[in-house]
Amino acid sequence: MENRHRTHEIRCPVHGFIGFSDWEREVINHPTFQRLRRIRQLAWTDQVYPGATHTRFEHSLGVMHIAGQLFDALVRSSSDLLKSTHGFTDDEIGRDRQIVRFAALLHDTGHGPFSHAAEDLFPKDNKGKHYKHEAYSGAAIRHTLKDAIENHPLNDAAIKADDVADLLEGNSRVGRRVIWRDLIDSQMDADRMDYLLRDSLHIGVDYGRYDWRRLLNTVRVIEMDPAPGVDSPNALRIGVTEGGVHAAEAMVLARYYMFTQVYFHKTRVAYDHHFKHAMNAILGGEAFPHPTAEGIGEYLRWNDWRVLGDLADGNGGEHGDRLRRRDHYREVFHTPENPTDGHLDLLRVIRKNLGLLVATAESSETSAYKLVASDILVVTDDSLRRVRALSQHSTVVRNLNLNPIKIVRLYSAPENAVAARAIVSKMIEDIK
Amino acid sequence: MMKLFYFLQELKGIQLGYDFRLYTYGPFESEVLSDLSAACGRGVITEDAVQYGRGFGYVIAPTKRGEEFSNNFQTEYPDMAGMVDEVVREFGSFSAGELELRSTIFYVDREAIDSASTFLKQDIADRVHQIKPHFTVATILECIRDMVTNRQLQSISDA
Repeated sequence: MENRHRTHEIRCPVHGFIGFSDWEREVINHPTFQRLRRIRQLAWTDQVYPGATHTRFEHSLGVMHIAGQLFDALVRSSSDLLKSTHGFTDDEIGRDRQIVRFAALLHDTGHGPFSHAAEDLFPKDNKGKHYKHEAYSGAAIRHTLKDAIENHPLNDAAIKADDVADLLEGNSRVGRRVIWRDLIDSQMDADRMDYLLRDSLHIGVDYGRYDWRRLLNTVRVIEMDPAPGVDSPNALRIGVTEGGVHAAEAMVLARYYMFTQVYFHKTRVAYDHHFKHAMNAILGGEAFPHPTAEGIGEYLRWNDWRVLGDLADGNGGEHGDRLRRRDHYREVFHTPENPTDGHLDLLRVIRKNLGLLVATAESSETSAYKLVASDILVVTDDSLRRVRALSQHSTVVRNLNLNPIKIVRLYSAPENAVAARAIVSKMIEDIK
Repeated sequence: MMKLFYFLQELKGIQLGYDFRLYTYGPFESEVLSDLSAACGRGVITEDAVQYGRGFGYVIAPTKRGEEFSNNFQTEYPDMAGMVDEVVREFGSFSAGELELRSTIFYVDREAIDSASTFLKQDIADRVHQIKPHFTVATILECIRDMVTNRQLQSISDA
């Protein structure tokens, strides 16, 4: 018989202990979720930072933990607004809470081997765009995890797998629950809040640290007024009070530092490139299966272990060989973080002069971790409860928004790197 | 601006590379904000925040450099410029709230198309009302009828 009140705990280096129910435990124990133990959170970043061996498994538990805490904090701080003004009932809130926790727990179940590095090899949808891992997460939830989600004795609220997938995907069936999307996918979502702390811890840097507890303390459901003369009612949004401005600012800065120092590190980017081509060779030039009921089972058989086995067997072509021998491409030139037109002209000239010595060029604008402008909302502490964007409170955030990162890196094969760097140095010297 | 970009890509078919998802405030893509901020940083537009009551918005205007860019764009890409003009004509006069509603209606319509489904007007109205309970069903239906008249919705079976 299920003990409704029994909770379980698992140790976490970031959060101490993460608690979960019998029901959540069943989902966690499902092979589809356990597969995340075999997907590295940061792909090949351990080639640069040896401690970066953590997996999507513990990260997903962390995201569930933070999402639950964010939800509880919002309900505590904004109870009147949710219940009295907008008619949320306790039952509805309880149901939403569980759906949010499942969505957070399962948001990464669709990741391919070595996380984002494989996404260029996903097939295209009917609009000609590559699927993203979120589509595979949705398929995994709707198909392989359906029974574990729906048929548990603790599912008094008749939660469907579709409810969880709809929230994750942001499709219109999500209904009024759409308000919780910001906890799953926004500038201040549970995913970001966990991975910044976790990646920072495992890598051994302090860049990703920020006062996340202060954010929990200051998070609110916000009701904004429409513009003057506009006759449309108030939509609900999620933001922080003025007291949370510096914690939110610190999180935006953490994201910036982690991107420039870790996620777009020159060597990590080289390894992503090698892995993509090695994986393409392993797949024989085919794409991964589609995120459908028919394809998801075969897709979920892919994980880091399987790919490493293929690489160990000598597969993966030239790039597989480079991965085995740690013989990665070397950076020979990069632009500044915010290149001017002059810097971009120089890049073009250098690239042209290097010719075939350029093995690849990688841009931060196409990175899966690309920085986007911050739009976190802040509500003032005074009786007026004015709402403004974080960038209106913070010059630092405003300047980051106005000057997006646009680094371009040029790489050569190791055997050509010395010659390429010599050409680049001479060109730069001649310009001076 | 967010909703105009949404219609430019999803209704007019200009591939801007955005991936719009649904939030309380309608279809949203944070990269649109990034691109607007970057354009402001490069001196192509000005972006000034304006406060009103408990809300805020932005007044966005082209600079001289932006006007030059716009003129060049119209010369070099006349078809695309024509699509931009169409979107502004069809949607430019609506308030932020009306655009929020219309873009959400359109989003639901597109989902139906993508899943090869059809909807009655009432079905779409009910679904949009669930997402946006702050709009009445009557208001939503009126919007749907207007969008059907303008041939902006394709999944309606009782058009």
